[in-house]
Amino acid sequence: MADLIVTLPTYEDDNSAHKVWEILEKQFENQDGKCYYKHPVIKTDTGITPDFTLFVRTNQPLVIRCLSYQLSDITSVGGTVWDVVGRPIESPILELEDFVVLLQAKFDKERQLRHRFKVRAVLAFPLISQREFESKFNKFPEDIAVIWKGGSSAVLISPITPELTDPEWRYAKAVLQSATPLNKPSTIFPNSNADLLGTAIPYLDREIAYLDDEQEKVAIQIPPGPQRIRGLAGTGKTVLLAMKAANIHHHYPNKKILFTFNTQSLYNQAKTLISKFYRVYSDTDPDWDRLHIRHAWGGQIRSGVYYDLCARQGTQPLDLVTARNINSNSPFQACCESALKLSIAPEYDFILLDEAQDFPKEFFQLLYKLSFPPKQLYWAYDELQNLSSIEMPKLGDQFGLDSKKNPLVSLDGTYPGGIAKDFVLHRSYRCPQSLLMLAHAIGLGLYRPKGCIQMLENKGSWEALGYKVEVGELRKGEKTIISRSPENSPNPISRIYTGLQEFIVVKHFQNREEELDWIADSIRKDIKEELVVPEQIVVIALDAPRARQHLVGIQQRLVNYSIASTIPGIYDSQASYAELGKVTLSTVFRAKGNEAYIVYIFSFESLYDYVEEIGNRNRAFTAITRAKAWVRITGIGKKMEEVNKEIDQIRNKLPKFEFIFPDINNIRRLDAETMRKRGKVAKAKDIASEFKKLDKDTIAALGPEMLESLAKLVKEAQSEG
Amino acid sequence: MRVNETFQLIWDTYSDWSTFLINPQHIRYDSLISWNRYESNILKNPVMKSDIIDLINKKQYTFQIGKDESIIQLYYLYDSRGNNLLEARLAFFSTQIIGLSKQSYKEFNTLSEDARILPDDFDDDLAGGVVSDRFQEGPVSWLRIDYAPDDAKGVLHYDCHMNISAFPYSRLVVSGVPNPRQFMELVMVIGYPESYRKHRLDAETGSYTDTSKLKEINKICYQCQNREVTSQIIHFHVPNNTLNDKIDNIVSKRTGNRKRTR
Repeated sequence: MADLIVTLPTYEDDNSAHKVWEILEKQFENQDGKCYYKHPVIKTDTGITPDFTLFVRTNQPLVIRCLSYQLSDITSVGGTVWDVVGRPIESPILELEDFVVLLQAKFDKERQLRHRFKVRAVLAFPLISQREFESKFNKFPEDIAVIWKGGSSAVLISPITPELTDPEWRYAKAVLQSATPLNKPSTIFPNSNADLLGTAIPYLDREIAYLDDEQEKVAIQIPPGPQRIRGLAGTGKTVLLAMKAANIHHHYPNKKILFTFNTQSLYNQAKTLISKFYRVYSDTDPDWDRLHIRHAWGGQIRSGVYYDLCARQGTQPLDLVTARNINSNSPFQACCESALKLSIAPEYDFILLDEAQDFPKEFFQLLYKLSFPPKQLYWAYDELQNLSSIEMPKLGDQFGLDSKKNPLVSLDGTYPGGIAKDFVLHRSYRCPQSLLMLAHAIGLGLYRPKGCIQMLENKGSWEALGYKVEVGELRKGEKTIISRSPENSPNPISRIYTGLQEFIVVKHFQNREEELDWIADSIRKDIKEELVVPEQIVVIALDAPRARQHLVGIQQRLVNYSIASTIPGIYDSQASYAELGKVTLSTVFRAKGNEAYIVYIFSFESLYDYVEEIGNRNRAFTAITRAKAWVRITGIGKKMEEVNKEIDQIRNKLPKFEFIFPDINNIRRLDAETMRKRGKVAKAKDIASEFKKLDKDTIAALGPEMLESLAKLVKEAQSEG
Repeated sequence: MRVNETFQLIWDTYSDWSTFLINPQHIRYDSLISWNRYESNILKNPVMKSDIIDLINKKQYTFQIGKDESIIQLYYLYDSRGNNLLEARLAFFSTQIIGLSKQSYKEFNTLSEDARILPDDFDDDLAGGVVSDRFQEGPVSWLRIDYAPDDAKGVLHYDCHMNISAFPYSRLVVSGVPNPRQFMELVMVIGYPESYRKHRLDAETGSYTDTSKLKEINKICYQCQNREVTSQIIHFHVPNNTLNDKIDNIVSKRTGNRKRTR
């Protein structure tokens, strides 16, 4: 028997449910499937969900109502009303009929599954035997399967004939997981060969999306306290958190829920996802007065957690300029610090925080105060999206300590019902394995000539990312071999695509014009020759300060090829990304949270930038992990030659990393080194701008030797650059 | 100025300012020139930043200005043969709030060029802050030239007039409908003088580096038929070199005739 998925902690004390589960587990031993305790996919108008929803591959779906009554509790069993423990209750049989109708409708709604299932109702009396019951009341109608105390469980058997095909099984699982909004509605299967980029993509789109075991638990379970969800880019955190929010809202329509995040563009995405998932259960939209989607900060046009809090307290929020004056590195931290000085009353029953890695600890403390006990605060932490802080922050630091100096939040152990407090999503669905490994190797600088710039220090961290340390104990100077299991990168593109294009292409150019020309021409070929639709292509600039200028250059070139493109700005909604019929030209920041089949990343030579190497490697990691299939990396000059060599080394070792483990102390010193370099460059800029102000006569007065040596220095620097 | 000429001039505008303009959306549908998914919408006063964000999100523009994402709308409606202009609406909406606390209003022009609000160098830590800044609400600057002769009534509502945010309920007389390139020059001069200087002018003298270019830009415009008002009140003059050339020709012919007569 596959897993029992407990959505609510009430299972722990639900003795009759335990007894029924024992029967189910025994009856469906070794079967592929799932059993859900209190799954919200079906809920009657009176707010009741089945105690169990059981779905194994060979048997018709079962909805089970457990009645934990003794015989003496039941006084009468009527058609519509039963008298139980001295009061009337709605007939459990009618409730079961409701469940059957509701679940059957969900299967019948999907063309692929119509006429394949006949949902069956099961009534369970784990504390009453059939003989006892029938000595007092009439027999139940024959179409109702009943599990009695000490009775047979054969009534549960109802085989599906003919057996489900793999696609049917996958799609049925998606229905039961309420994951159908993740699938494209089309039932038309592509009938061309997958030997062009554009013809392979529809096959990828056709892969039926359903949740794996880890994801399903994250989405469905409602832990009675804090929960952390960790996972790489592409593990589905945002989607799962949105599903979780919809589930909670469905379970508890009167509770107040907050969904918050850092990247502005997530607002519409989150709202759309939550609406879609909620509408799987309901004919109406979520009650947005109860379910708040808020940016962490907000502003006068759009409310946010911090702005709302200040408004409730009657306090003027800090504006950006003031906040920057207080804390130039993290103005939002300054805001949270000032808010924490206020007396904050709890406001929300549930808080879901996406992109938790992007927030200062003060925001966690703020959310903690904003949540009612038992602090049902769930946060998704993107491992390694922010490579600069690759080690998980300590909970005591993040949430603070109680009066006895113990951390306010602990994630040790599990909640009742086996609900995890700390969840790790190992599988990354977006990127093919080779791309994800390339991104990690570049981000960490595993093959950088001067050594790694970032490192995961223990095996647990590597494993959390879906890797396995094969050789080495992660000690300084030791040979280390790390591998990634293909099952943790299930992207099927390499299985589907039969053409000749490589998944990773690296190109080196003499100057930027050539580089941009090549990109525009390659996009033209993608569209005209490889039949890729423009919205499946994204171009990302790695060189942040000049990104906009270069993106405009690519747009001009594409206009000349009559290819429409869009440069989403800070005001654009999420809809501007992958706009129908247009190639997206983006900065790395704007690309966050988005994905595409084909990703071009240019000005990649900035990986070897003198000052911003760590930042640029983080950006490179983010950029590469936007790609669902093909990535084209370009750059110019000598630095790009170095990049080329580094990427070659990475590719030669795939699907493993082989490197000498670095000195962690050296890596820790890199931050200070970056600060020092920044200081040097700032000073050089000052000197240069002062120098430029000098008149020619003054410069000439420096003398020929000095001028010659200055000219030589400048020339050398230019050729390096 | 026929419909095909006008549409070509929009392309020329984009080519001329292609390092400055982004996301071209212009389309021509028979005798109408507008932008993709055009929606008729005149914003109410005061025009707020959120109104502009709404237009940006709905892609209601011909071009965006790359540095601050302000928008330009170019709308021309011709008769079915594409010969006579029936209506026009040319607008510029800035994303910059008037009187933003950082700078005083008089520095608006400089501010709009200096404010690096695009996400080129955004860092994760700053994202929240930028959002707060970005979604600061407030009135924005704008200008619009309308040509609607059917609704016109004398000097206070001339065939072609300009509305500006400073005097939103006044209609300032304009002698004709600017072609797309002329309108772009106006936007640049008003909103982005520094960029205009670099693109067009001599750094020292402030005069045009290439007068032939200006001649080309001002080669044609749609001159209003009713010229009485323009001789009665101070107004905005839209250069029209073709017309000027014709006048010059007439003048020179007359002068020549007179000379001959003498």
